[in-house]
Amino acid sequence: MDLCGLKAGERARITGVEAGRLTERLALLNVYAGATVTLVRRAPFGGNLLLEAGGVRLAVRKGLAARIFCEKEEE
Amino acid sequence: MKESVLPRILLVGHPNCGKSTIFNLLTGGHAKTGNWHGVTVGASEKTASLGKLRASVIDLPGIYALGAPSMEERCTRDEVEGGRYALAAVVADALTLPRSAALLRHTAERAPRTVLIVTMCDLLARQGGFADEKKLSKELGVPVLCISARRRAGAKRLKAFLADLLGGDDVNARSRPPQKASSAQGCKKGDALACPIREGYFAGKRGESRAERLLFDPRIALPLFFLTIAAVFFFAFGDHMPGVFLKERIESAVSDGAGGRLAFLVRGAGGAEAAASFVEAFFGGLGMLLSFLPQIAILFFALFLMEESGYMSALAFMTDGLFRRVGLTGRAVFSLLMGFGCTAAALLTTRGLENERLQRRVAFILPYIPCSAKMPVFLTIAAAFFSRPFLAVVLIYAAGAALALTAALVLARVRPAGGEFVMEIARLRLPSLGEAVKSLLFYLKQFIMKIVTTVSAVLIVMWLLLSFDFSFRFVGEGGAGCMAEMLCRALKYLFYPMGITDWRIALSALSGLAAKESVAGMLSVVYGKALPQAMSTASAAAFTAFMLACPPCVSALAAAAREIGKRRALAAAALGTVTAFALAYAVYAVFTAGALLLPAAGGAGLAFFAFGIKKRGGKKVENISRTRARRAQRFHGQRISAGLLRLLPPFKGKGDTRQRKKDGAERSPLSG
Repeated sequence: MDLCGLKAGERARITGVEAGRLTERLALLNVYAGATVTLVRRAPFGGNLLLEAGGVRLAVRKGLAARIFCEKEEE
Repeated sequence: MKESVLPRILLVGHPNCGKSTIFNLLTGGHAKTGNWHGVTVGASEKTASLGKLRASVIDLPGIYALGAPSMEERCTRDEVEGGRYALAAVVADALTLPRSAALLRHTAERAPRTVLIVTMCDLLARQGGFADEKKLSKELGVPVLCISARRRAGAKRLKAFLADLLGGDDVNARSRPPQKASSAQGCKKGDALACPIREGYFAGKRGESRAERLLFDPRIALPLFFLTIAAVFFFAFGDHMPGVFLKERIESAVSDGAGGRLAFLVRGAGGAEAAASFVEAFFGGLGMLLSFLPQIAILFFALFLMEESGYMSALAFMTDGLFRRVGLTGRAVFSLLMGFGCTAAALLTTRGLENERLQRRVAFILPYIPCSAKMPVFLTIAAAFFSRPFLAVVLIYAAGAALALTAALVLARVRPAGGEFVMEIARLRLPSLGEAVKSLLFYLKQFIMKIVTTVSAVLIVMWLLLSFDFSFRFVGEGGAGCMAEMLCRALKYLFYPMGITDWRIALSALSGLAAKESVAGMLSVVYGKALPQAMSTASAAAFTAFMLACPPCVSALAAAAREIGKRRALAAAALGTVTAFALAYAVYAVFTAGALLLPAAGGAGLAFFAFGIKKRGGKKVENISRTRARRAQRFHGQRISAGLLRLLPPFKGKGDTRQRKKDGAERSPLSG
């Protein structure tokens, strides 16, 4: 599944990132294959996802989130 | 000791890690700091005194990794790989230390000597984390120092640490032996990703504070966003508020006070009338320019506080879903709405926007938003022609906003903002007022040096055109036969399709280039109360439309040039002028020929639009094929997501591999 399938508060382990030239930027914000990421919340109006990865908080748009694949982690 | 002999220390690090704070600490400098990207552009070098030793510290632009392509980052990479320094200090934020591990490794591989400076350790401790200097040093293979840059003790330790590493005549003997990083095996060779820190660091847990939870509540965020903008706007541009109050004070002090008195002296001493007139005009212009300062200062200060505290990024996050549909972001909307107060000031606030394309887009749209200087013109015309002037003005402002919105949508189609971007959302924290004030003063100084000089030059040229005729005889400001009059007698033909034949109206429009308030001034000087006799209602409406869309005053032009470059600013101004005239002609046509002409005018307008869009897309041959290819992909993309591709045979060919990759990406949500 990809990040868009997560619900607020759920944690997931990233299995793949297909973000083109943004892949490296994401990796430096702690979003890379093998990293754990939490979906903190979603913005209203179908907006961005607020993620937390290794202490860094970042916002990504849905289009980009759909290209970050992950597996849900059980609490 | 000569400067060139001082040992050099390079400061390297991600954006927003407190690098510039460290720089200021060491050198007592005022490098501008902030949560904005690209705040430090280009390296700045200053001397620092580290106890008994003096060194030269270079603050490099914040970078994400040494392999990155952007301009600021290239500058940093060149400096690091150039090797003409004694020490490379990687500055990292304690709260996000693992992020800097890869950068540290990159730097350590290229620099003769590297150290790690971890800042904000007090914040880390506050959230239950820790950073052990010795263990980290062993793990990462470089000397490590953990401090809190905001405290005096931290500053002392930092200076002692660096002095110890550099100090003494025999630098080599003092240096610590290069340690093999024990985590080196964890990192894949040549890979920027996945450099975990296993020992010596724990990030701690930090839930959201109550303030953050409130801010991220959708019921609160949206109204709060608009309330904040209204509050800032009111503070800067509202009547009797500090912004306007100071603006008027400064203008009267400089223009009338200094300028008037000086001109009086010149006249009294028997000087030429031309000289006195020049003095008046010069100080008048200077007064007008300096009067921008209070409002710009208020906007900048407000923005700085909002960005530094993380307030702005939180609200931008919450409102992004809404504004994305018109091709803007929350931050862009802030700048646009400030345009209702002053276009020049609003343009200067576009500096911190998320990316360049968005900034250009906002800069193109801003002139269509009627600034407060256009208000007198609208009021004059509305009062002369409408029984309900207030309602008319409200309609005019609504039309301006609609025009800006249309421009936004058109630009979003024609030049999309360059794909996705990832925004780091800072934690809410109290900004430092001291830094705010220092930044503000630095910024204002830059404004004075750059914009005031350019605009003064233009104003002087305008004064020359207004006061001298072609044989360079002084005819008095706006006197008969001046060059400007001759120019406007030619320009008036541009106003004929609006039903305006008086060259003095062309002159008043031209004077609007200096300051939009002068248009109203000129109109009342020339016509007084007799405006309805001079213009028909249709012409008045057309002229209003012209004023609405015409390019802003030269100060705003200078501000635009500073933000998006001279060429683009001039192009935007030219485009604005053309659209202004076109709009005015259209309005006049509609008003005179009535409803019969409306569908024809609408059709012509649409054709012009379509032609305009195509023209822009086809300016260069490469642009055409790229646009067409993009359109084809999107079209193709729609087909795929409708599920039809399963029936169509897959394409072969090089160009289609890119498409196929896109297909794959599009398809995975369906199959995934």
